[in-house]
Amino acid sequence: MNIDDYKRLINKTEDYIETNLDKRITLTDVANNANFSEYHFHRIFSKFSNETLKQFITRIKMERSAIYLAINSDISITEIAFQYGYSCSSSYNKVFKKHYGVSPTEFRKEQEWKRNIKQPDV
Amino acid sequence: MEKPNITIENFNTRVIYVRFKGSYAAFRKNSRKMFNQLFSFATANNLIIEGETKVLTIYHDNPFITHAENLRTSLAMTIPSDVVINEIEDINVLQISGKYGIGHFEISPPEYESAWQYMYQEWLFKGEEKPRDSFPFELYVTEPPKRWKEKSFTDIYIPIE
Repeated sequence: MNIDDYKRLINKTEDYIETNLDKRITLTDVANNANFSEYHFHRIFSKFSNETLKQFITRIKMERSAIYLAINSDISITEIAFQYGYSCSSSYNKVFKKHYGVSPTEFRKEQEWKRNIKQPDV
Repeated sequence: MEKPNITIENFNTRVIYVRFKGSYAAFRKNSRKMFNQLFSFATANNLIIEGETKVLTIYHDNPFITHAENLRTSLAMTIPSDVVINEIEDINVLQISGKYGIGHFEISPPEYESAWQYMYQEWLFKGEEKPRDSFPFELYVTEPPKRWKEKSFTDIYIPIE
């Protein structure tokens, strides 16, 4: 397998996570989605990635949930937790805080403030 | 920039795409190469339908939230829904579907940022529609201009509930 095959596998896995954000996603799910055995998927993923599969899934979920909570001020943190496959808001809060260093509520406030100041130049 | 006409529509299409990971500036530098890769693949597989095939840029992340080196941007091309695609190189197939608020713009390259700002700040945040948790994208209705001051028709799709 070369780097293009790996990129294609990652793209497929990202697309799968993005359409199944409300589920608890396992190695079996992503391997099935890519038509690979769990063993083969894990071997390829580990060879090219500097994250574990769990870290990868969590990062995609955290980044997508952060976008959603920043642009949707009406939705509660509990609803977001459920929407991202967490069984309660406290487990979601914990993972979020570990990832961003602030709670989802604090993050939402920060983003509202930043949004009114300037566009990032990337 | 003129105020756009905005429509609400269900949109359902299948695309092939190449995904880039990195800053938007780096994406812009690579986009011509990515387009050529998609175009060659589409031509070799007879996927291009004159007058129907459209090119899109999909923004999976948000620069306020994701670090520049992790920003994912896909350059995509619409394809017929019934063809079987053998995914090769780093080209994948994706189904896009759902309800969107679509801003119909006639803009030049330096106006894209204001157009996106308008769709979020003026339309989505101040309006009645609720955002849906999916990625937004821009669809080039006519070919994007090669010169800085020339305008073209571009639609910006914001996913809504």
